[in-house]
Amino acid sequence: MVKSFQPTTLSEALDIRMNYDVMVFCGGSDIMIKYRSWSGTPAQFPKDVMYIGHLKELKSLDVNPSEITIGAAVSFSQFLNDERIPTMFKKPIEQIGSVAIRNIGTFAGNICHASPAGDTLPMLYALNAKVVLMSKRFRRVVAIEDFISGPGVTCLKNDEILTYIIIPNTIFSHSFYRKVGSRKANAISKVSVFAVADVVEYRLADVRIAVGSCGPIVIRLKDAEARIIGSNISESDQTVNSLLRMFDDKIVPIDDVRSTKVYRSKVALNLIETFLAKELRQ
Amino acid sequence: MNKISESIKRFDFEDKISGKAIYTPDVHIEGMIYAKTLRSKVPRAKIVYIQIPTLPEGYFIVDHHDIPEKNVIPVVFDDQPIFATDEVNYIGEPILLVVGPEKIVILEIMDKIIIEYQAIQPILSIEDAESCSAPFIFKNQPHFVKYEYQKGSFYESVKCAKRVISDEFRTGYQEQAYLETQSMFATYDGHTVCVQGSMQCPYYIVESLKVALGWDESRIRVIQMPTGGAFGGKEEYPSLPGVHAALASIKTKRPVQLVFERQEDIQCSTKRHPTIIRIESYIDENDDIIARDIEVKSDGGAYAGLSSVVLQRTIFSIAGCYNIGNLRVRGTVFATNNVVTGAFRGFGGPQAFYAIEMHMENMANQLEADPIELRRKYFVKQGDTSSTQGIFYDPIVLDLIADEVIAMSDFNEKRLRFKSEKLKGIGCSIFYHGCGFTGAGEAELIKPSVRLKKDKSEVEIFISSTEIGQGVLTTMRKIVASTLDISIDHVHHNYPDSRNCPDSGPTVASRTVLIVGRLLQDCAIEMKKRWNEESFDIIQNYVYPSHLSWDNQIFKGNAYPDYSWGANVVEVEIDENTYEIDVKGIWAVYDIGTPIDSKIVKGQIEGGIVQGLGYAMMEVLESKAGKLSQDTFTTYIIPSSLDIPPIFSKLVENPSTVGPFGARGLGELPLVGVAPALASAVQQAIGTKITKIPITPEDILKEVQS
Repeated sequence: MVKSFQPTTLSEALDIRMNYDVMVFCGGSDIMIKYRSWSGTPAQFPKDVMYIGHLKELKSLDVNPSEITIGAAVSFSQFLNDERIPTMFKKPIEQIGSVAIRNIGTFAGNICHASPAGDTLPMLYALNAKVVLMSKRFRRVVAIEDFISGPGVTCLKNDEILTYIIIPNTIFSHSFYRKVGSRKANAISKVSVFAVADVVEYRLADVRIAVGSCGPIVIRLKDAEARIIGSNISESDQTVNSLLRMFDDKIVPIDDVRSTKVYRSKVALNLIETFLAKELRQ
Repeated sequence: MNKISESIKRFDFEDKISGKAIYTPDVHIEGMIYAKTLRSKVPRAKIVYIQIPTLPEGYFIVDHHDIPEKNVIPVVFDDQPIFATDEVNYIGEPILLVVGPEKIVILEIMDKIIIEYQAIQPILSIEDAESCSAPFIFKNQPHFVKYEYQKGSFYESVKCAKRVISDEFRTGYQEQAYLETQSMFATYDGHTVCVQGSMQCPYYIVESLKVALGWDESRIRVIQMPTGGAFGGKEEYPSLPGVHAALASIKTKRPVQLVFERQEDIQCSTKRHPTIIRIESYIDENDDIIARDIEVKSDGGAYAGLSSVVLQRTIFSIAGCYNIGNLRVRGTVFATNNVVTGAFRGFGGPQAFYAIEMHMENMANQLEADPIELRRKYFVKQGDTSSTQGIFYDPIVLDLIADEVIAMSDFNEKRLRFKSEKLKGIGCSIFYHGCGFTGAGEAELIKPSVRLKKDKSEVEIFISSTEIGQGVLTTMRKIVASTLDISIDHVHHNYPDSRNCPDSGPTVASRTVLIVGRLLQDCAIEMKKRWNEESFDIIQNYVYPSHLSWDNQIFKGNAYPDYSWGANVVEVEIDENTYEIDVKGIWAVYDIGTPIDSKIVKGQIEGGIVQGLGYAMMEVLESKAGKLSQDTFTTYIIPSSLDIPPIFSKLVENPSTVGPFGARGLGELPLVGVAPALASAVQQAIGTKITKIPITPEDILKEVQS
């Protein structure tokens, strides 16, 4: 039988994390599925479990003009119901799972699960989000793309807890999100694209594009973005095409039970093209 | 509106909505223990040996040795064992049960059981079966049944043809996806075994228990519990877990609960038959269709089950709503080492109407004809004969149905406009469902009987028809109360119990209101005449109508006692970036005679349409090496509430002469016509032929790129 820990403070949680090999359980919407077992028997957890979803310190959602700081135990619903959060940051979140999943699911859980199809990830990559990792002794802040290194693989250490997510509160003139699932709710994405841009007098002052479900990790090509920053949006057909080619090289999706390689690449490129060639010109 | 059509509050509403209803898995009585099924992990093998660990006290193995009489589930052919003995024929075939008080211990025991298999080359598809050689799965042949029938002078007529238009279509598996998994609960008191559970057909389980135990009916009792959905998936399949639970209870002398997990249920229970259907239309110099040649092949899985009857419905329905004088229709169900296929809402009809209606659509395109007007030219009418040469005795109002659906959906205007509007399309289908058992099955196989009891001012209905969400606990009361002209509060009706309900047949084939409802109406008419008597029972047995006839050897005569009819129009727009199908609207017109309760009817229509939509465009289910690839609700995609498009439905008035108050069958009809209307709309939108369902965005991308 596995042991369960229910700390009352973050500090206590960090003590437990240091002293025991525990799996951190926040909302449980992924964990309970992964370790499900015959109804009426305990979940098949591979090791001891520590619950952190109830910790007050981790339920805070701070918004200031430069940053949005999301506690690890903040549910998607809490985020969506907060009027201080810009609408464009809510787009991917309002399509996650179903109401019930949004009521218990969290950014922290979605990030630590590190699925290539994680619904929060393309946005977090595009917005240069960072995660705060705390242990009893250290606190470090890591960029999202440095935190996740492969499907289900992160640099979270055994004594650390992902406590906060920091999203720069940047305003963009354009934002775009499209999740393609097999149905309109309760679907795992087959491909998703989150993009933002800042257009100042027809000049592309900033652009970021992140693609989910099309490789082992979310794809964001900063060098490709750099190439088109500064260009005039009405004369950028060639640059759009060269950027699409760069994405085409980097998109390495797979055939699986949900979709095909061919479909994922084609749709990802279509969506990027739509964003650059149509949405930006509106 | 007929008074009986006015909607009333359903009698099962309060319990189900409040959460008070007790479903089978909710039952936990003193001394109850659990059973779990150990299943084959391979598609085809000899079982060399089974090694069972030493069992802790209170734990038991139940297997074929525990069957007192006959190791067989009686369906049509007696080929399916209750437990595998020395061979297995599909992944998920039950081998034994582990039974005991603690689920954790049961799982530990299951982990320690070792089975050594000696693999046999499996047959994994229709194509495999067509070319396979011995050892065969079923007798000495690659198929369970092979049928052929003809109408008119097929061979003569094809000689006169100037051209042939042909199509080949493929349809996939479909999972019923009832919310409640297969669930059974059995008790044994030393004399009588009682099986309670989630089911459509209590008497199928009674019959299976009689065969397995060799006991007479006085020692067998089957009771339906509130049931969380069925859709055909709880027609013949529950006999297997029903007998399993009973055997476990008899052996252990304890109440036994047997409840499937979702993955187990999807992997092991029956599915809709995948098919390959080829249709050739022979056309003369006036572009008239003079003959049709149709071939249906379906995958029956490892055991025959109801596959022969399902195939009969496919091949009788596949002539569609059209009077084509000369037909040759052939059909084969192949035996494979895939999951067993069986009953599913529509029962072979959805495959038939998908194929024939797509073929009509393709013909209209090739002949540059209007798709509905081409169909109209051949609509069957009262007095015409069906594909099996049975006379349609009653008025058929297909013209009216077609006119209504055209008007409601603005079909003609949109069809024309979408010719020049990219990625938009509209399609139609015209279809029917033969209500009730095939041929003379109602009289010869089922012999249904109903009982109505009067006790002073109270009347009670005793039938074996089950409430599976379709409203039987409400509609039957309405029929009886209206006939007796008494308040419905004086009419009582409970979930069926074989102890006091006669066998009024299975709850299938859109037959319950039509056949059982009519028998109850007949009882009530009789009861009304004797109303001044204080207490008495009336039993009514089914009598085959004298004007109908059926020869099951040559498939000739009235294939069904009554028909309900319908038309669908579906409008779509394809997303230019993602190739997703956005269904803009579904229009549906039906002749179901007199609706017995308008809200229940609407529920059946909308539910059926959504299930048909899933079949058409979402519910991908594939067998790879004998194992279904999509076995959870994460991977097997049924529509969510957000995926339901606007649905506009309408009924035309054309009372049946068979059913009570003029009602016809309804349960299956709304599923039947969705796929071809949707696929035709997608064809118009992308300009290429769709030859399979479900149609996924991945398929559409392939089509637009080719």
